[in-house]
Amino acid sequence: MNLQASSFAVGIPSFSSPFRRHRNFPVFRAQVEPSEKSVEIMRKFSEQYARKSGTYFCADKGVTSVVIKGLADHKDALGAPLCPCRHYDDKAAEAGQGFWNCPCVPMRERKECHCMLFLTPDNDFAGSEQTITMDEIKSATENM
Amino acid sequence: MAAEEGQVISCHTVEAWNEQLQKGNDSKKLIVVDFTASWCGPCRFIAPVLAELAKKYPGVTFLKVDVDELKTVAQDWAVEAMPTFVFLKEGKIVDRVVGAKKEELLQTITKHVATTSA
Repeated sequence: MNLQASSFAVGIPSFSSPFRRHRNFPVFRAQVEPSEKSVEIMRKFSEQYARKSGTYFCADKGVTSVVIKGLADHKDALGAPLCPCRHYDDKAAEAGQGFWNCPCVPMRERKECHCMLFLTPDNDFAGSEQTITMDEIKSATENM
Repeated sequence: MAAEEGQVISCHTVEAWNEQLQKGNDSKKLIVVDFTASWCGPCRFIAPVLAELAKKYPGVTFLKVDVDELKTVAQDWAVEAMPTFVFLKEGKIVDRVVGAKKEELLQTITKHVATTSA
């Protein structure tokens, strides 16, 4: 677990100069891309769960794509799709506890997904689709 | 810094963060901090809105903190959900908006800008 914790401390520098980070940290990584396998698993899960819960993806599929990749990233790193829209003091402990593993308890109980992955039809941001392709995810996140 | 006016300033180190906070506190300007994360969909959705607001309100300091990058800051400020917007004036938290709520964000800024200039 220590290894994991230290890798998170390094963070995901989306905008900072790689040179500066190089100097400050012995281990560095660029924006981490989740594995394609995990993205596909979370993509399928999202489609199935949207249908099952009667919810829809955001009209802006960029939001959907980023969240699916975030879930995949946590699945790779922690073994569980921990919600990427929350901050945790200890991600590994949180993933073990399960409350915020997708679909989280607020989603299962009240259809509340503040990540905007699963939106009820009355939500202003809800689109009309319950499907998303791998190509849509790729093109929506290629310039991140 | 005049060069930073009208822009959202990303803080990548605790030192840079502290420096910006100190600057904001000294100038008594309203500070809006956007706590964000790289794979948070709503954060990405609200980012261009915040950039627009920064242009519109050059007298307000807009800071951005990635919670995975500055873990201790996120912890100290009790950030749970992202995005979280914290409003500061002279070192005090005056408001908090949780979620990508465009209208609420705008209303909260105008509310505090009005009280600053009064």
